[in-house]
Amino acid sequence: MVEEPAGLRHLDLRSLCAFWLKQCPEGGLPLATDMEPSDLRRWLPNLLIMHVHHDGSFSYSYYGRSLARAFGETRLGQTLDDLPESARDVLRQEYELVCRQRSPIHRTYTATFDGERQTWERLVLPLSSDGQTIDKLLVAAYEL
Amino acid sequence: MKPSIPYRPAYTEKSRITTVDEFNIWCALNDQPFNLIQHVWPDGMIEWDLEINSGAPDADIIYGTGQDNGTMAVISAFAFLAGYEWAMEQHAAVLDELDDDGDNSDGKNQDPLRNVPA
Repeated sequence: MVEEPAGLRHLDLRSLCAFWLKQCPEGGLPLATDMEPSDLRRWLPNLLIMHVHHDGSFSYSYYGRSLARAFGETRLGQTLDDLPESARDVLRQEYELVCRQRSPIHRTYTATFDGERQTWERLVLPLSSDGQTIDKLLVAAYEL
Repeated sequence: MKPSIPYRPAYTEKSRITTVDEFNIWCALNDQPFNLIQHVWPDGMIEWDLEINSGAPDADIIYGTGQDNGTMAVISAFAFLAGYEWAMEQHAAVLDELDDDGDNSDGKNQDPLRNVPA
């Protein structure tokens, strides 16, 4: 049975994870098409959606306004290959792990953005089109 | 008519989507390659446009909503998408009929919209 990852700190991430768990059918993953945008309203500015392509590549199909503001630009339409090498490798490993484990993972990291040292927490949740194949990742990130 | 497409068609939406961000994430969740983006005209007027393949080299405006209000732009975009889906289904049905009619090897019956992304 899929559970909330241990150590998740940010309250909005915990509530998003609880929402995602509620959407999980027994033994399966939530359908992306069952996700109601109005139900996601409180998290929208801090959400992004990664499309998982058949060849194993990832591209951004939604990029929340708060994330675009915090990181200086929207990454909508870009692939992981468009990112700097250091970020690309970390994110690819993280997304591939979620696809393999078929369960949420979270990570806390500290970096300098716009000259300011910041700590962020991320949560990655798998979504499916048929209940089995993972073809989208719902990702949320909040500054701690 | 039962939809033959694997996503949730725009014409079945129950209008719970009221903001541009909700529309855009709906598109992402339903494999629709569209985004509402804000366009500022040279005279300063704002218009929400429907863009296809945003961020990709072939990104393009596919429909201008004529709206500066986000909620009205969402309504216009859904109306456009419903018509787009209907037209694509009709087009697919016509192609099926042409296929059933026989040899297509001379290219005369090739899909004229084959390069239009969906």
